[in-house]
Amino acid sequence: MDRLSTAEARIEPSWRKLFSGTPREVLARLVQDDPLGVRDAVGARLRADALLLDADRVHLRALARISRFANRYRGRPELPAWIESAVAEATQEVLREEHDAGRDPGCAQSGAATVFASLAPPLGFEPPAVRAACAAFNALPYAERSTFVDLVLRGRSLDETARASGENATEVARRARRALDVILAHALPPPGAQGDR
Amino acid sequence: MKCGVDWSAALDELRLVHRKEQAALLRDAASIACAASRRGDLYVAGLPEGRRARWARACADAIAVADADDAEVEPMLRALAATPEARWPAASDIARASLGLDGCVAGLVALARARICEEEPGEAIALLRELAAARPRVAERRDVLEALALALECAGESDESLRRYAAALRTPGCEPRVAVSMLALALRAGNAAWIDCASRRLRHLDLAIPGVRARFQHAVRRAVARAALST
Repeated sequence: MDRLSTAEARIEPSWRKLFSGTPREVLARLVQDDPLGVRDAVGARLRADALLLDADRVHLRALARISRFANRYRGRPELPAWIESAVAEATQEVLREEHDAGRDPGCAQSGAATVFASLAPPLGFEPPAVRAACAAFNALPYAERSTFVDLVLRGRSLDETARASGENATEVARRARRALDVILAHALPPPGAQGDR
Repeated sequence: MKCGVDWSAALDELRLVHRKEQAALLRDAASIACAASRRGDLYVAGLPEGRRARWARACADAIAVADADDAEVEPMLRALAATPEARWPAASDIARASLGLDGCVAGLVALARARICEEEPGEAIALLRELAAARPRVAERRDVLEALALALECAGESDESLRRYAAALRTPGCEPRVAVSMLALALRAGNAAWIDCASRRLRHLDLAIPGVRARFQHAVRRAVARAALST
């Protein structure tokens, strides 16, 4: 959260000015140079929670929420904590929407999830399938998500991950395997459909 | 834009935040409307107490900022803000308006609760069973299962109601009031296993804490009133 602390030191005396006016006017200030360090806060939140979400979408939602509710901010809690809570709310909203999209195939197909359209083809998957796989992954317990992220996405070794988590390597490998199974179950087409690809 | 934000996408997102806020206010309004009915008071979980004034302030703020942003304001929300509660439309109409803005699980639960109040528990049960089968996220699962258990209790389907109460109790963060409801129904049904299950959850409740005691007493009063209504 260094960026936020720096940002706060720079702008706190003038947060009233930054937050004055309509939400649209506040938003126009926030998208210029990211004075509150919201993008960094989003990245930190997604990494800390080991979530596979579209960071741009969470960032936009956080900016919009901060702009909307800026008129209620009175200086408490401290600005970084207030920004973090807005980021946490934005993350939860997007998580909920992604989970709900699984109930509605029409929504899952929508073009709103453009990150999946660019992410899926290099992996050889369909965008809606990758979206569903990420939603299923995000619903897993934190321990399984974080183990998978450490081992597979960050490329840490099994021993290193086991040491960091204080678990034995077998259990760590099992957790990562469970997460991988969930992802593949949603990303791969059903067995009968393999021939169609 | 210097930080790589597409301005039109940011504006779309702001409109979405306005819509979601209005949807949440309509869900709260549906709860307030439910609380006015006898069935709502007994069979709808977590009804607001003294929330009407806060709702009115939040509603006025939401409408004012949406107007200032030239964002749409759901006509029903504007009408509710300007109308005495006694002349509000049916809770289910309010819940449907909220679903028009945000088709989330919380909106569907609000609609189901409204149908319980409007003496249509069968419709509520069908909707909530469907939601429960779709494996909602933990926070929503708690609400879905509790609402379903209450709807089933209202419809006299004690066995399934007890099973749903038990499932709600297994969900992390479940409120003690669910255990109170379950215990009351299990005692009426004379089901020892379910009595044990519910009482285990209440065993460590610290009634010396004023807030905990008040919520416990409120839950007991409602459970007793439901029992009186069903006999």
